[in-house]
Amino acid sequence: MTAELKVSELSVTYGDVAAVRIDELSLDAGEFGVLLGPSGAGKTSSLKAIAGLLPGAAGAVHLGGRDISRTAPEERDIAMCFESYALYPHLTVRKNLEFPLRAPRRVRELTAQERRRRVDEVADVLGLGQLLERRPAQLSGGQRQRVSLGRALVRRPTLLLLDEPISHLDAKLRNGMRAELKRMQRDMGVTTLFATPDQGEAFALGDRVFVLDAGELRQVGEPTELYLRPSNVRVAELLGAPRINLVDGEVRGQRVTVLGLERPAEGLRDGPVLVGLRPADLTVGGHRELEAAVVAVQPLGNAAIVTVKVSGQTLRVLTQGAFDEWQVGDAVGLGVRSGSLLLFDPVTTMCVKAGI
Amino acid sequence: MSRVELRSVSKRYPKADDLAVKQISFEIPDGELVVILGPSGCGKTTTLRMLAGLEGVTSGEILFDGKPVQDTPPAARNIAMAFENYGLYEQWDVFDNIAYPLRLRSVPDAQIESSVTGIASGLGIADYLGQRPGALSGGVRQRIGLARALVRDPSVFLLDEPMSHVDADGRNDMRLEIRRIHERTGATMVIVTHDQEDALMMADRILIMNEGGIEQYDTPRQIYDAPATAFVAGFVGEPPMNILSVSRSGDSLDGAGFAASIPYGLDAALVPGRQLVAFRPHLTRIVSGPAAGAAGGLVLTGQVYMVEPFGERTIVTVQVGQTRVKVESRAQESYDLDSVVSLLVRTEDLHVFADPAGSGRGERF
Repeated sequence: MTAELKVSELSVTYGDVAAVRIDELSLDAGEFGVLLGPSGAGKTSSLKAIAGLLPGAAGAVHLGGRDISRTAPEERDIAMCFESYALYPHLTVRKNLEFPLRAPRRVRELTAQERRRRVDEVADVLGLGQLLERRPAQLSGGQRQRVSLGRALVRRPTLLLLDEPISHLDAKLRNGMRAELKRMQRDMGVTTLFATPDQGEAFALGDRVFVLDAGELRQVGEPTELYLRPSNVRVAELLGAPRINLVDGEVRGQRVTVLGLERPAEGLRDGPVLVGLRPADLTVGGHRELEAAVVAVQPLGNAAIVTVKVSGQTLRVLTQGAFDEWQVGDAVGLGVRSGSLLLFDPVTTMCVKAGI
Repeated sequence: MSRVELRSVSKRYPKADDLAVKQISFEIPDGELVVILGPSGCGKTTTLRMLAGLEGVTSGEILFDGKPVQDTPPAARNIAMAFENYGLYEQWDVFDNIAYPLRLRSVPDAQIESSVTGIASGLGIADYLGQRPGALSGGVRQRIGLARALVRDPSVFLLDEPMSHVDADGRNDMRLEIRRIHERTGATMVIVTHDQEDALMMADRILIMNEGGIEQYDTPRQIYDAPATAFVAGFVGEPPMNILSVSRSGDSLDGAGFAASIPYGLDAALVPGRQLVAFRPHLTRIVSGPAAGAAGGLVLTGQVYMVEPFGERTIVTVQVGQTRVKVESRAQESYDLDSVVSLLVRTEDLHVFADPAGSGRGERF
């Protein structure tokens, strides 16, 4: 049973600090929404407010057309998975997973056998099969996080709220579980809102991404849309690791000049402009348009982050290939992929041109 | 500065059946930065805590510059440690928190001022020096803990998951900063993390642990290019290597629910019976439709399980029999879920590992 989510005029204040102010956040039934924002943006507060766990929060929450703004949290049919696990230390993993199905208001919905089967199913998907008889104290951090996730999933709720549920897992587990989570959500069809500070993760998982910064939504859209056309500098900064390079440029006669490069900039007035260059859209090595000097090299396996200086500006480049190719001090050619420039108005910070 | 050595160190927790750390031995030359990398539960934090003296060793020796220290209390080992859970003094402001170790040692105020502000700037927390930690976010609190450890001049720095609560972008800056601090102080550093990017970027050498033992101890380059075991192959790299358990029979490699012809040129590396074949996702080509003839490499057919578009790259998870294989490409491609696709990996990009116990944890040939 799945339903659409409609949140309006959501506000959360702590003392006199307005932590969250969201005008509107909606998800279609079965949609996988991602709330993307840096640490401190208000992701956890937003999720808790939707779940009804913050008595001081204001705003309207509608689930499947039903107004649940004043419904007690346990009656909202929302399951939430917290970053801090919140497991019952005196219960085994199996009993922790089963716990939501045994709540007094729910215990008669399923037979004991059906409950066991649900738990086994979830445990299987999350790789917890061998750990069912352990207690949380005997689990590693990553294992606890998976139990926490399982406990939210076992209820098959109408709305699933996930607060950075896989962020503390190692890369291998995280990779595996991310695809599983996405597939599970697709198969279960449950409306989901997933909070993360990781843009890559947001893009990999989300049907739609809600970019949250300092308590406010900066842009909402499909991942590709956000990546190709961020609406302002802040959104561009929040998307992509390493962070986007921002360099001063100049528009003159409908052409933009930056770092000694020139590109057409139709429809733009003369004046200064802020140019965004994504590290992944830059290349180093060989004969290229620009000459740069290597300042730092950080190896990454089959890639590297190379920091270069060009025309007095420092840029980060995400390269492919062998990571012992460049040394600090080397002179290298720097190339910029065509169609990758983003131009922002330096005063309003709005994006005025993309894809040149 | 100190050379650190562990000789046959084991740790058993009270009432535990298993050893958390199983007779490990390794040496860290003076001034090296070693990252201990492994999945949650592998024993890396236990190892670090034994180095610090916060846990006793069940057996074995720990030596700093040739002197046994396993019975020396932490305070007498001249180490500095930063924890994942910060351990900050809530009643003091950030400046005083970071300054504390220096004040304990009666360092002059002027020097405290410059050391603290220097470290704080380097870690991006200079703006918070006058505030109390309580109001600050997890990422900032973690950096304060790190600053407090790094502001001293100990023999060995021990850092336990020092950046686990910091965002991707801040993480990158901090890795650079830790490397810079390491180069500037020349201190021996041991850093524990589960994040293989941290390891690849910061380490002089990486010690990979799994289930209480050491899988490989080598430079990042060697670990990436020449993983010693299937475990290392599957753990390092983002996304990790695909590992297929196969059985060689005649001209074909049989796996769980799939079969493939033996690629030309791979014959010499294979043995009869079971083994593991591994390859990196970014070296795997994917095309729509079923495989059509041999093509100078390993050819597999499967169905699309999931597509994850990351922006500048896409990861496609393909169900091949009962295994899931990941493919990474730079293009913005899209495949229908459950559609049939074929995968191709060149012979020279294949790694083969022995798997005598059929456990999926092979040793390299």
